[in-house]
Amino acid sequence: MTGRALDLTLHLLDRQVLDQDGGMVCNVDDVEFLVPDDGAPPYITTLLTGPAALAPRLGGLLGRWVLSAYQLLGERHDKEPDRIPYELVTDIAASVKVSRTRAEMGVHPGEDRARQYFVDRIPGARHESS
Amino acid sequence: MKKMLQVTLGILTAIGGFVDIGDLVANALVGSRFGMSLAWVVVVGVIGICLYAEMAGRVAAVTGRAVFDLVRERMGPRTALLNLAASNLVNLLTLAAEVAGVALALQLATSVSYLLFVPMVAFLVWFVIWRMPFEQMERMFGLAGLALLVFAVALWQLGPDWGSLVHQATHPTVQSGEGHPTYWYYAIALFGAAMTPYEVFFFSSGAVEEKWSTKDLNLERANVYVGFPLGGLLSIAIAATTAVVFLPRGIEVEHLSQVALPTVMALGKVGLALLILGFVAATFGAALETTLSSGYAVSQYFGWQWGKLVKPKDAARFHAVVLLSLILGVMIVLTTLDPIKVTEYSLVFSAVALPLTYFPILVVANDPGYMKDKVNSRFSNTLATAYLILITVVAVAAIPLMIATKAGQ
Amino acid sequence: MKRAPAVATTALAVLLTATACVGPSRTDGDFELKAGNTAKAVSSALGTARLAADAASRGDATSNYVSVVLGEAEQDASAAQATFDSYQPPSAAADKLRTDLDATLSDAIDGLTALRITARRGQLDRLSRISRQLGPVATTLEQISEKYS
Repeated sequence: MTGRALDLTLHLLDRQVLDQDGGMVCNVDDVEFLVPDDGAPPYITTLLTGPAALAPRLGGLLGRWVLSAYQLLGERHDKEPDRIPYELVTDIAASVKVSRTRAEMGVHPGEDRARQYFVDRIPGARHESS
Repeated sequence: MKKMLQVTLGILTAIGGFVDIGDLVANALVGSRFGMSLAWVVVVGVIGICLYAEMAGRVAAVTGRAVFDLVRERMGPRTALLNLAASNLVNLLTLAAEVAGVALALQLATSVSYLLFVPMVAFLVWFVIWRMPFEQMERMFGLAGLALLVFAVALWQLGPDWGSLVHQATHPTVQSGEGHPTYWYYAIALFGAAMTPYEVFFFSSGAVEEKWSTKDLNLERANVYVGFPLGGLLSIAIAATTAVVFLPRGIEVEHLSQVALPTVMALGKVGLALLILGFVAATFGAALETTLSSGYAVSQYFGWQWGKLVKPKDAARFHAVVLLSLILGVMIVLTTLDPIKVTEYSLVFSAVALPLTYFPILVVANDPGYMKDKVNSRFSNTLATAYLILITVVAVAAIPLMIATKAGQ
Repeated sequence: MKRAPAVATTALAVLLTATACVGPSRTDGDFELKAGNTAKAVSSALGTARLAADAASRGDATSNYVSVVLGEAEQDASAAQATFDSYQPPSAAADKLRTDLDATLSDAIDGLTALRITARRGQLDRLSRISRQLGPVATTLEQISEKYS
């Protein structure tokens, strides 16, 4: 996936990230890119996700609220976003596909917490309903 | 038969969207106060929802992406977050009313106060979402909701002056004793009822849950074109029964029990039994629809795993949102706010949020980057643009009219 | 678009207060209009109850269902009367209208109570007789409602 020209806002930002099994991982909340010194066009290095990446894009009061709600829930104490190295991206279409499983990505601490403290304790959480 | 069962997603979406507790009462009320003179709004609404639900379902089938996903991507995270807050507020009010609606239907059967049924109903809603396969859920409540067709039978049995009903519908005039603002207020409420955002959230997410793909586009269209017109037909039949029985007697409908009365008069206890079955199925279906929609919208905004297809533990935050919404909904009902008033208001508020939901659907349905050769035809684009203008006008007029008419009093 | 939730919240607040408050009636005309609306509301409740009572005595409705309908009709009528009684009559003429209408309203509500009690006892066959007796009250209410609205 190198060398393709992308319109960031149109093709990448706010898209759903899917893992190699088609499971939903997160949205692309922001990206990090590198501007080479030699004047070559900038390229994307990392996809950023999580409220810490989303909040600056929301801006203002709304962004601060999202961030403090997130910290209040105790998901994370630092203000660092979760990162997905761009090398893992295999396809960018209606959604962004990556070559790992959800468990390997480790970018959804909130999901883990909700599972660990809440959903997993309800009988039947480990059975498929369909 | 198998083919016929495959349109149950559309039927459940439409029955839950068109003849939920608020609409049951709103349609009956409109019939009793305005006769058939607002039937045209239902027709306009049905065409609008068919158009946009078809687009949303097509986008979901082709790209696997549901409506709120598109809302965020096209409107940006900031506007989408505001839409999320507004839609979920409306959704929560509706959810509360639907839970109360199931309980009110049970009250008709047992004469035990509806408040006592509320916790049990809410538990059952959660249990169905937690355990019942999507398809089974859709069939059970969609098909049981068809019991409401008894309204059409009752109308026929009442032996109305068909010519006069048709005349009222085709030559709409405001009844004497009713003001024009009130007429338009109810027009907006009915239009909002037909186009409630949770219908497209649910229908498009349901399409993903059913794993529809480009191959299933005919099935998707069949769902839309069977389900929603059926919902509209039921709405009109309800209004017609009350127009026949209550309008000449100067009776105004305020309760679910009154909605049932014309059918009881025409068909007796059998009619009553079918109606209660239909009421329970439709309101329970709507409760499922709104509860799931809250979970769908929030999860899609943040990119969390959602849906009933995966084990609950793999969609932990989705199920957490679902359960939280239900608990909040029950708390709203247990304040003993009149559930019927709550939905009437939420219909009008949802009219305000409509443009933010429907605009992104139209944009993406035209994007060949997503849709390849399945983009909108020129005809549906023209129609959809006209509807978008209409939706915007309605959104702007909704709140001022609500205040001017003291919510239709 | 940014202000949508704020607008909605304000509107909800306005609405909840607007529906709860009772308007002042400064003139006779105003008061008469309120009398007409009250008569209309109670007439609507009474009409519903009589239809349900007749259906039940024909054996078309269950006693549970008819109890719910009658209970709600009685509540609606009582609430309408209570609201009407809270209006301040602006003149002697209004006083008279108030007394007359109140008497009719009370008759209607007494009838509704009788219907509800009979239905809850399961004596559905007796409902149509009570419903017939309420005919004159219903006619009076309709006349008042037409005269003043």
